[in-house]
Amino acid sequence: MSSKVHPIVAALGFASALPVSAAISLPTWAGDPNTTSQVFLFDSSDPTPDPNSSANPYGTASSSVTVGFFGNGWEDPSGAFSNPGHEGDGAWDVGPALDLSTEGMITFDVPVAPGPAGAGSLYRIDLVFYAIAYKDLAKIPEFSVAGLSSGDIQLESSGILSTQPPAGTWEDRTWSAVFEGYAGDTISMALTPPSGSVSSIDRVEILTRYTAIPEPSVTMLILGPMVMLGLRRRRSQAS
Amino acid sequence: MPRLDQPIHSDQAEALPPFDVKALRLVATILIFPTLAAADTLNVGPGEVHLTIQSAIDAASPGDSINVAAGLYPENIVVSKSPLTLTGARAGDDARGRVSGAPDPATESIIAPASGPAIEIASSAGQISVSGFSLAAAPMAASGVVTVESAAAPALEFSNNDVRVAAGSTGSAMWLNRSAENATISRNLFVAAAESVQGLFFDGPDSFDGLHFIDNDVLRDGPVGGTGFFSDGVGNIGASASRSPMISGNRFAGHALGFNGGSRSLEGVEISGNQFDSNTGGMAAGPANCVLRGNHWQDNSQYGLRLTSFGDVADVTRGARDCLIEGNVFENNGAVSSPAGSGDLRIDDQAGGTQQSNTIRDNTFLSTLAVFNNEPTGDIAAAYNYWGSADGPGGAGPGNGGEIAGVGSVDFEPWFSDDSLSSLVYGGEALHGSVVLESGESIGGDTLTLGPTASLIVKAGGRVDVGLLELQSGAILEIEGGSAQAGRLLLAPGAVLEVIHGDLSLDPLGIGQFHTISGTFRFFNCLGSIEILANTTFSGSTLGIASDIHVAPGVTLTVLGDLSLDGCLLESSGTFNLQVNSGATFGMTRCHVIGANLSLVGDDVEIRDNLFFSSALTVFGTVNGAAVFHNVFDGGVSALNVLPGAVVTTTVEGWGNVSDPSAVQNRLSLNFRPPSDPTRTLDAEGHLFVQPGDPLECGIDIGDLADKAQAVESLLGYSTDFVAFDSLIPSAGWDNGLSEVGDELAVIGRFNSAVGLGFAFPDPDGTLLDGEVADLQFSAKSLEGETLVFFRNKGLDDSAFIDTRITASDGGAPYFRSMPFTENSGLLTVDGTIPEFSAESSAIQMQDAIPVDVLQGGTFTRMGTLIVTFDSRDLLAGLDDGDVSVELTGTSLTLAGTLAGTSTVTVGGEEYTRYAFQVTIDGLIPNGVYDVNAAAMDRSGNVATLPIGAVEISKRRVQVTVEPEGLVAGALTREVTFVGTDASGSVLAAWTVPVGFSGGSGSVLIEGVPDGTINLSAKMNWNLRRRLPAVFGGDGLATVSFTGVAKLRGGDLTGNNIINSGDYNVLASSFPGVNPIADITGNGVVNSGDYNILATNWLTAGDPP
Repeated sequence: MSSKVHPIVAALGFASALPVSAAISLPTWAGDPNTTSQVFLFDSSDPTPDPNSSANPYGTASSSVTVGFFGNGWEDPSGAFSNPGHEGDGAWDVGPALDLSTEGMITFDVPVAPGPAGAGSLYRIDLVFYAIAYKDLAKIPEFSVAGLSSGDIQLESSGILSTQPPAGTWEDRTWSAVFEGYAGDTISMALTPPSGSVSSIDRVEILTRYTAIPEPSVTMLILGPMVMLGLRRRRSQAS
Repeated sequence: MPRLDQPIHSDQAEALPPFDVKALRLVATILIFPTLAAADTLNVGPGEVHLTIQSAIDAASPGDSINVAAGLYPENIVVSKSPLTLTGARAGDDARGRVSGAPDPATESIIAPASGPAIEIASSAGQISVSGFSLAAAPMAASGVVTVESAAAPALEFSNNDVRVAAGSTGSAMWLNRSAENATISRNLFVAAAESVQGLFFDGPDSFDGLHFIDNDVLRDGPVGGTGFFSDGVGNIGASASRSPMISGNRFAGHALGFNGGSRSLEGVEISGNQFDSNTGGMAAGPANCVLRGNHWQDNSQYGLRLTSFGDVADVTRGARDCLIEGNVFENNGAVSSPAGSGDLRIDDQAGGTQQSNTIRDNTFLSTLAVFNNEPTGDIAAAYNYWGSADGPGGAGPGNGGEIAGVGSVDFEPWFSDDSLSSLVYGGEALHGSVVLESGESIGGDTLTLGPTASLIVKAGGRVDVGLLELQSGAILEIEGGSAQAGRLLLAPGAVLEVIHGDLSLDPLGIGQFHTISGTFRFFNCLGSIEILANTTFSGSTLGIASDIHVAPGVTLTVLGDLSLDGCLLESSGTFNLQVNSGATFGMTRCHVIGANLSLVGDDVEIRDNLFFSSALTVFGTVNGAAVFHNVFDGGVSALNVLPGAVVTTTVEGWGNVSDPSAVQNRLSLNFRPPSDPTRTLDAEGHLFVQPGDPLECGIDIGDLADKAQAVESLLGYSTDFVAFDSLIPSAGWDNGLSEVGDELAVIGRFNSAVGLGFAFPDPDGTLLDGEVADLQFSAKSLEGETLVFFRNKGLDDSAFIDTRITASDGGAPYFRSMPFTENSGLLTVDGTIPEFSAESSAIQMQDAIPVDVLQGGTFTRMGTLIVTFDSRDLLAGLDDGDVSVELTGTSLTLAGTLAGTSTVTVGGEEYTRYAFQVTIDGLIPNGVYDVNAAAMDRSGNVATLPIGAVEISKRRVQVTVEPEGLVAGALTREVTFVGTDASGSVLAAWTVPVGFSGGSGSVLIEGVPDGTINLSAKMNWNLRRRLPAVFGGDGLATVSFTGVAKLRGGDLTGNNIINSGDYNVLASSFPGVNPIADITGNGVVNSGDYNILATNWLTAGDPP
């Protein structure tokens, strides 16, 4: 995938006051109509942080942090001993319960469309999720989307941003997913430590695009061949 | 509104309301006068109306006050109006020590003219007051910084001023050349220049009567020179109409002569509490009728005090006369030119008889030369002083103290042998007149002679301790509760020695001096306190009643005159001799005699009703008519050896001498009854112990009657010092007829109030039964001590109809048994003083074979035995072991100790009984802090308590071993926090203790573990908490090991008992490094070893507490 910033995304970044990460692999539709973009820096101890920047005509994304028993909580940059992230502005350390079952996580609710899909129509939601997390004794969190299975989520890219002793690295991950036939206007996502682990999460960027799609019962008969053709062409371009 | 006492200007008048002019004039008439009469205050200083003091004085009216702000005023002030008050910025602040270096105009009101006086007092109309200034000037000779030159200054007030003469000036700090009666000059600092002729000058022709010169420092800036205080004239410092003069509390230092009072200037002055130091001469004066008291002359290079007429040996109105020099201290004077004309006190030649009129007493002379007496005629009265040595003055004196030198004679006897002026030594001087030694006072020395008119009374706490005690004919020595020790006693005929409940020791050092008692010697109620330690001849008249007499072994008491002992204990630790020579009179009744070898040569002897122990009595063949009967010889009647030819009565009224006390007949005895208050004691020997104010009863009992008794009479005595007779309670069956309660004239001394009692049995035929005849009720007085109730011999003043006897009956026909066997009461101890404790006490428990003082903080008392010791004594009534106790008092329980033993100890030179109490701490005793208190009750019921301290009982302890995971093998110390919890998990106690680790583990003993503890947890800064069961054994000890699988897992660097990213962050922040907070292993570095431990325990939580 290309790491080049798309001109439209650059415009989006400008509009949202915070540039998106230089490391993110942006989709081609970034900045297009029907798209959203939100950046979470996790630079405060607010467990329900709002995005630090947002270009979302459908509302404001929200997030919620559950630290978990073994989580270290918010990593304060001014703390005597903290790991405040690759960018040094704070991070959330979430972990499992005392019995090491899943407890800590960060969830996100992102408005992705102007409203629920209307009668006879559904949405296709394109989703790109970018995160920076720490890896040593802490692990890279797992990304999940409500309504999608892990198989529906593609890891688009990964990289090491910085290292620190004893053996840690701040790394980024970009996941993408497509939600076909989505009727709602908000999508819920989560970053969860791998089982029995903790994760330190420094930054999250979420980009979405919706496309209104007629009910298959009406349109598939007419437009089905054209849709299939269009999809084939796109995949051809992306490759 | 304009003030009515101010001019009304025209423009103001126009503004006034249209008052009626007549009315206005009337108001002004009423108001103006009082306004003018009131004093005004004028302020001087920057920003004030008056910038100069003189301006304010010029503007002031008499009676006004002038307040002068801090600042520099280079003026020559002339106070030409009075009364007037000048107040500087430091009014109220003592000038002595107030200014350091140059005065600060920011705080001081400084009057400092370029030349001439700073202040001239020049008005005599009223009082002028000057206070709170700093004055500095350069006056010429015959002038001063402050002068009274042109007018008298009545009632001058001059206080709290710092007055300094500028260097090079020959003037004075204060020059008084006109009268200043009733002047008060106080709390000033006067500093003369080196060239000043006088520091203060009080001119001769003028009067300074009523002067109060108090608490001033008169110093000199520069080398010693000039005079500090100078006055001359004739009685011009004397009493005024309103007050006596006083020179008190001042310091005169740094002058050639600190104080020159002239040859006749001082009259009736109290000169007290002054310090004269660092002068060539401290003070020279010819005061008259003055008191020099409590002054200190020190470090004056030639002399301290010089009493002088300044060379006039003819004029009796000059020089020191009729003065009392008392209670002063002279120290290190005359060090330079000693001894010629120097020393502490120099006495100059004056007109004949004048120096002898002074009295020098109660002073302390500590210099090498104490008195240099140049007065060739008469004796200087200097008795009752301390000369720096117990053996008196040196030089003309006999001792090694300050010397007495010069051509004159000094009467220095007696002198004090101590610097507290409590012990007198008479030396060769006989004591004349009356002297009373109160508590703390004493007379010592080699010899004390009481002259023919002497009367010496030694009160309780007073003491005489001399080598030779001689009482000349007519002398009286009364020891009333005090004590006397004499190496040798010479009591001349006509002299009287009387000891009343006092102590007398003759030859206490056992030198072997012999004592001659040719006068009258009486002692009463001296219980345990008469010691005769050398041969003694009783050629006078000696009477002892109810006293204890200790005689040294081998000593011979020779009776040539009269010796009568009644109710005495006469004892020796060995054998002593008592020889009654021909022509002597000897009586001994109701005595206990121990270790005596009595030899009777004379005839006039009556010995009866005595108990002899280890004694023998030999009646020589020369005896014709002695009586020795009704005695008990414990060794058998063979101890009575009547030699052939002796004529002696040994049997009276049907019985003689016996060997068994139970064999006596017609016993008439006095016995104390059990006290109603159970805290008082009546012991098995019949001794009674009470407190002042207590009631007490003494019964008259009869027994062992040989004949029926139908009546009993008794002549009794007791000490009115100790008891008061309240009432007489006849026993059932015995009527009584109180014949007499005698007063102190009845018999001798104060052991002299007596009762004469008669009782009759209703049955004319009488009774043979033993029993109580009557009960005498007394009350104890406030005086503490020992006494008894006793039978006494009949005196001349007693009724002719009463005696001590039993009226026996023969079928109703009465006849007398005049010689019953009489027994005095036991000792009565009146004690109102609580027992004493020494400063030493302890509470010790053996812990692990080590004695531990569990009174110390941080220690615990375990199960087992606690030993509490303390020292106590009671000098009068004494202590019974059963009345001494120890208690440990906790919040819910009091533990009583059990007496485990006693011993005699000496603490601080005093002997005590050491009591050791045992307290058993068992498993049923609650933990907690217990106050340890001892209590001692003497036999009279006086209770004293001693708070010994507090102990913390903690029956449980835990021996803990801790192994922190991965800790290096080397030695290091780390804190471990232990927490004890109960079954519910509640925390009962926590301890954070340093633990020394070696080989990776460390051990510690935790004490003070609360009851109910079942778990103990351990937590360290680098490690997770681990909790383990604590199982206590019967000895209260549990062993808990946080080792092996139970070791303390490492990695908790944040202390939250969880190992997570917080700990990781701490470690990472120090990685690699040396920050000890992340050094889990303790090897001094933060490295992979620490990381590995943390990683091993990643996402692990510790146990709860």
